[in-house]
Amino acid sequence: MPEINFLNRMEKAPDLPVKIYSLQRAGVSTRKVLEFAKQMGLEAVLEKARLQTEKDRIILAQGQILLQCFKESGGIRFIDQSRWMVDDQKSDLAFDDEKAFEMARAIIKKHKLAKADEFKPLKVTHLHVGSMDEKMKNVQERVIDAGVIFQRMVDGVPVLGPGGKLMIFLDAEGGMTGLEKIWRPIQEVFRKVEGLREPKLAENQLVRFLKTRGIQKADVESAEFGYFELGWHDRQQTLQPAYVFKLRLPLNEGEGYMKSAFVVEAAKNAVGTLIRYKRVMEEQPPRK
Amino acid sequence: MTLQVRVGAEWVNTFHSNYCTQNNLSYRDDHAVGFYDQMGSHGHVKVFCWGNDNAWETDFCHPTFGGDSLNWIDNVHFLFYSDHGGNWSNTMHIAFSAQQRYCLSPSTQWRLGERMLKWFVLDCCQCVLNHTAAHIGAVWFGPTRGVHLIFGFIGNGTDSWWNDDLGSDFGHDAATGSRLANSWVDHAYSWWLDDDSIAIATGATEAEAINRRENESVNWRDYNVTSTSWLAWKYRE
Repeated sequence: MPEINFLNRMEKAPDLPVKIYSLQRAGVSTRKVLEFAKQMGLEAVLEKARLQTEKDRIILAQGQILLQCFKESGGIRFIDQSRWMVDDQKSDLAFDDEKAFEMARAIIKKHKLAKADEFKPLKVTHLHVGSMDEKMKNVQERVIDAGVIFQRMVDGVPVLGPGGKLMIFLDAEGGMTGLEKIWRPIQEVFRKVEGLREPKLAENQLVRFLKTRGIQKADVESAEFGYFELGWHDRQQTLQPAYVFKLRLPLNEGEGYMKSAFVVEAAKNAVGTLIRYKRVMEEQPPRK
Repeated sequence: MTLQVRVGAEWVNTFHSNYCTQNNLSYRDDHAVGFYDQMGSHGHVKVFCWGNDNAWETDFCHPTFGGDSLNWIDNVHFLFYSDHGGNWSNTMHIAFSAQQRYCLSPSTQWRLGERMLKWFVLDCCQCVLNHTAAHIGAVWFGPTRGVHLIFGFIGNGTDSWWNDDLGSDFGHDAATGSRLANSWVDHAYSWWLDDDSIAIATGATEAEAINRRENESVNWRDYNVTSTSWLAWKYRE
């Protein structure tokens, strides 16, 4: 039996007004990409843009601007390659997180990236740069950008997972250098939720899942509840409530551990399952 | 168009209960093979992709210490490793399921870039334990002997279905000539999974190391690092 330690547990199902929603198809096309480019203020130069369609995305390049729209999710990655995460070798970011959220909110409003009541501030990340000589005497360290992350909210419930996020990149002067957004539009209520399953049932599913994966030892760090939205490359038809567990898989030597996550649907009348079983890879013949 | 580079990958998901025992992982093949295939699909040369018991510690270890690195990881330009990793005593260790000689390979036995290796991805835990300059330098000045950039995580990484596109996403950018350090730091960072990413560049001078950190793509393949006198890094947290 795997040794599973629950360091934090959710004792009972939350009492929240959740529903199951159907999501609009991503429908990414060159027309949509051009529309978004205009939304970001590129209309004056679009005749100079290069459009390229790849298997999983459509890419628009114009000057230093690179806009990628992902076909399955509708996710958007918009960067100014001359400034995004680039160190000018003198900037050192001085504004605080509150100011970063304020500036990023203004950008969201200006470009109509999301409605104000659809998200909440989540975290300000920072890009640090450093350098050092071999004698470890000349050390330089600075902060050169703020990555401001907003979390999508639906019915006042947070959207968890790799999706449901909007990240605005600000340089040391507060100017936008890029954005990333995975935010599938809701179409309509697909199904009312007929009650939530108790977290204990989800825990049991987690234990069974770990057993099938041959995991010997795991510490369950946290259990969260929210809607769950997938990442850049995933097609998703419904948005539904889920339990999300964060895990540690300890290394046998040292103090390291690999992290992991397990997601399972929470509604008694869920649509399908959020549990993802591993796709089977062909076994390699023994190496000689 | 980008310069063509030689690519290798090694990964381990499945360990044994009676030797080289570690917790099993699930998605390291998705990461490593995803990277390998993306590079290949854009015209780069797929040289080897060893998984589970076919991934060997000797492939990383320099001949000075009895290994065969010059014929494997240092016989490609771009190496993607995905598995368990741990860092103690300012030494990076990576884990293997097959015991050719040892179950772990320590970075004290690596001479990265002595022959060909330019870019080394450590898609595992603890490329560094923290972001203090002294620690980064203590771990990475020693093993870097011509390699241009090291990519990894500060602290622990994640093995999860929800980030199994990391190798493929980074591979897409790398294969098509994007700035490597920015691409890795952006794709590997995850607020949701609490993954903090780092890229470490080397150079004979500070200016060179910074230039590589900021601008290097696969098109810098033949712009050699003549000595690792400086490190320049960037990370997001």
